[in-house]
Amino acid sequence: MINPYKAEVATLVRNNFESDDRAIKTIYLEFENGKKMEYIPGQFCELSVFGKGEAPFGIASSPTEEGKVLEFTANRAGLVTKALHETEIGEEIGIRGPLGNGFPISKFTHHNLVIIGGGFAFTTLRSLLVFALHNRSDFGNIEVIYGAREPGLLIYKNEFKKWRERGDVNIYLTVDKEFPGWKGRVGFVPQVVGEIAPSEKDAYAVICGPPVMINFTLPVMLKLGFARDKIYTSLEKRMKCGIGKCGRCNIWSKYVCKDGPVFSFAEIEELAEEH
Amino acid sequence: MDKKIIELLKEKLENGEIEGVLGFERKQYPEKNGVIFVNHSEGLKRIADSLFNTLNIATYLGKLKGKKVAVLVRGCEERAINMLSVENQLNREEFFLIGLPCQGIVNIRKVKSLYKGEIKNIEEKDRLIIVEGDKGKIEISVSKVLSNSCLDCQRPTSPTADINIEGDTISPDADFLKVKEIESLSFPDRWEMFKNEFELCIRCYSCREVCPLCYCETCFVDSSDPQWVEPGKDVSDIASFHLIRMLHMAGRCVGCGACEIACPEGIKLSYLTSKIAKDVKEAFNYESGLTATQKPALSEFKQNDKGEFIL
Amino acid sequence: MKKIPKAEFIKELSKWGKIFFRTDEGFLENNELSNRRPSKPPKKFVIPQEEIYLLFYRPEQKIVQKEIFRKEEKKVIFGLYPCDAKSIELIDLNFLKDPKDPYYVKRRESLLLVTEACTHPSTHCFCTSLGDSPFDRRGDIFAFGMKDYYLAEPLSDRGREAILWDKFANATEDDGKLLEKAKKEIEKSLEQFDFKNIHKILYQKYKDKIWDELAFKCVNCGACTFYCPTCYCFDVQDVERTNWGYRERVWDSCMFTIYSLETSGHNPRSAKMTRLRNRVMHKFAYYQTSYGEYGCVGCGRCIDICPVGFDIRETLKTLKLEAGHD
Repeated sequence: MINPYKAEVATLVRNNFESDDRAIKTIYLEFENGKKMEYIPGQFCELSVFGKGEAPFGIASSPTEEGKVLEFTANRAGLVTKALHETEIGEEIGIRGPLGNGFPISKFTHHNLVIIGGGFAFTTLRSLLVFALHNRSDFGNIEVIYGAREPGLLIYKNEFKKWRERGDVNIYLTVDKEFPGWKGRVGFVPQVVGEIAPSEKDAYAVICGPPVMINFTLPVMLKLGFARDKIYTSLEKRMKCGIGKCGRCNIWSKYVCKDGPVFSFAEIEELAEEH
Repeated sequence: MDKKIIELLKEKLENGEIEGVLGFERKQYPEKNGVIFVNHSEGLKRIADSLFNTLNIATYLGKLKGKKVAVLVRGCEERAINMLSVENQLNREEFFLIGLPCQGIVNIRKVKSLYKGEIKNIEEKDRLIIVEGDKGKIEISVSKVLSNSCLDCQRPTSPTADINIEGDTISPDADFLKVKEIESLSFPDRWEMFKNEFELCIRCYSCREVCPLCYCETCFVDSSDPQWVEPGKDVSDIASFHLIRMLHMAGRCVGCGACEIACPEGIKLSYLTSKIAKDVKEAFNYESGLTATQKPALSEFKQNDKGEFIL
Repeated sequence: MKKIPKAEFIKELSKWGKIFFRTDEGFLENNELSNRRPSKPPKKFVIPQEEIYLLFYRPEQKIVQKEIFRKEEKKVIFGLYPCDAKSIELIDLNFLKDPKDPYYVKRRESLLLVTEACTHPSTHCFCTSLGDSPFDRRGDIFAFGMKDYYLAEPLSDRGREAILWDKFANATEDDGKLLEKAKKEIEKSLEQFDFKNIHKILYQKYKDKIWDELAFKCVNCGACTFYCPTCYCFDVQDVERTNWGYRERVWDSCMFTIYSLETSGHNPRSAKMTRLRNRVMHKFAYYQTSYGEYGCVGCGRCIDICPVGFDIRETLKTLKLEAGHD
């Protein structure tokens, strides 16, 4: 019997800081036995720093990217993220995955995509975006609206530059308030979404970000005519086992780790309050 | 409950001086007496005195922030409210305290150990506990089944309450007889006693949650960064939890005994609470919660504090 | 059903494994059967309070992991009342669904559950209010205790293979009638509420203000979750030593503040009421949705042990009343 609690081992091969304040870091892992993990955008892995603990992280890389490297971006906030930040190149960490349900790619194909992100919650959205760009002809219009408190906290900045240069995806970056040196858009994400006003025709939307951002963006999307079952999100919860056994990540009868973390707003209609 | 008090509370409710009354609801055995918040006059008849009102009502004040409430208190509850006031956890002005004459509280475990059958009913009359069940009916003197904390009671009355109801109270003892007995043991024997008692602990934290003075948003035992105490059943972890919590209680614990009675395993937490009360009294001549302004013993330094521990 | 002399039944079962008898406290070896359900539930046999399940050490920058599977000796849990037997089956639903928990599987396979019909419900029992019966046939073997005999029958393959059933005489028709009579008497003796469709009312009343009142008494200590036979939530923690350590899981409680506290500081259930409501919903609504059964067996241990007098029966009755008046 496979032991779902036992981690596989991966080596940290590369890392870099995403944010100017060095609180957000991206780490790149390769499996010790050389395997290439199969997964879909939206899934997550439980990363273990043995001795400190284990925590869930959305997979930021896309399965279509070359090589066998898995990418994760973590904000240094607690015990495990601190340990991950301090892990050195060449050190091994534990990895369990892929876990969760992932984005419903089969629904998204041949439709327009509206990707909305806030803060450092762009990780699985990166996976989705890169997947779509690698399969560009399978998707219609792709619009990306991404904002952070300040320019220094926007992640994947270099990649956004490259994606813009492609010309086949519309990228809108914004910061909450005016900031010296920032010549781009200014405004909270829900506000900017209202200004850009993406069309709901043949479109699916994905919103990922802090609860307050989602609470204000959802009504804007509904007003634009998006149906609840066309708007998806990836929920975050405190997780331990990651496989629906320990009980804590539940939203009503669903476990965010097992039945999610991706849900449409039709599925979690009653639950915005508790989240 | 005293008729005059019911009238007074009715009046205060009806003219809007208070939004409600916090008191104990008396239930028939085997149900337990719980704390209720009554916000209309008809509900007042549910509130009653009982020797089985074994919680500290001050624990519930956190749920009533911002409301003007009348609270029926016994000595240890009044002292807990004073402590919470000094520690800026509540605004004393929001509470109208009615001091009850405290006759002590009974530990049902002591009753069960004296009645070795299946209990069907318990009544309280005068200073007797009348127990009925499949082994017939017996009358037990309350003094035999008083909670251990009541045996070391420092003060059963509430001098700082807004009004006080007259009546008989138990006599404050504070002789710490049990503590002295344990202090006479050798250290290895003390550790054996402690281990045997405390290895029953299942880390349910009932003791912490019923305590009015355990109000920290993040308890030290819940911290993972740094991890002060490990989870699990090893006696070293259990000892860490209880002893560190007692150190946090020193000079603050009011000796109500709610923790010992709440403990589902019946652990004699009173050994620890009485010990720290005795130590604090001897070291600083201090009793907790006497006024709403008296600072906690361990939060200030006086010139004449004994410094024997300073090497 | 077979009719087996009491001492012989025990002797036969002891050949299968070590027998743990129902006592007032819990399930213990070498004991007399008590007359009531134990104050502690049998769940520790399938989910121990503390379980170290992974050992690891870090020679230089590498990681070596070792799974810890304990040798589980075969145990007979004897005299489980049907409520407790059902509780094990309910915990099975969580740990045996995919992906299976291998540690749990190993422990579960080492247990033989011998259920005894409950002839002495405790003060706070309410199994019949949930549609169950103190004479429900559950577990691997079902037994009804008479003066000198047990009427017993196997319910599962493990039960069938546990003893040599053919050795024993069949129960007579009169014996069967005695069992039926006892069953009816006990079922009648229990105070009956109708909670059979309570999940619908719970979903309906989720956002109702009445929860503030219902949850007022509760101080969110966690005693109920530790004594509940079906509560299985666990916490996972790493313990670090010099260059080695272990990962363990311990009983956790949804009543604790940090149960769902996220690293960002956001706590979806920060108010005490929300945690109590979540527990009631989990037992009486979410479990029903996920598995088609309530997660509560009506044993009443939570009511026995609660330090503040919270009573789940009162809570459900009040919610029913509220819904009835709508």
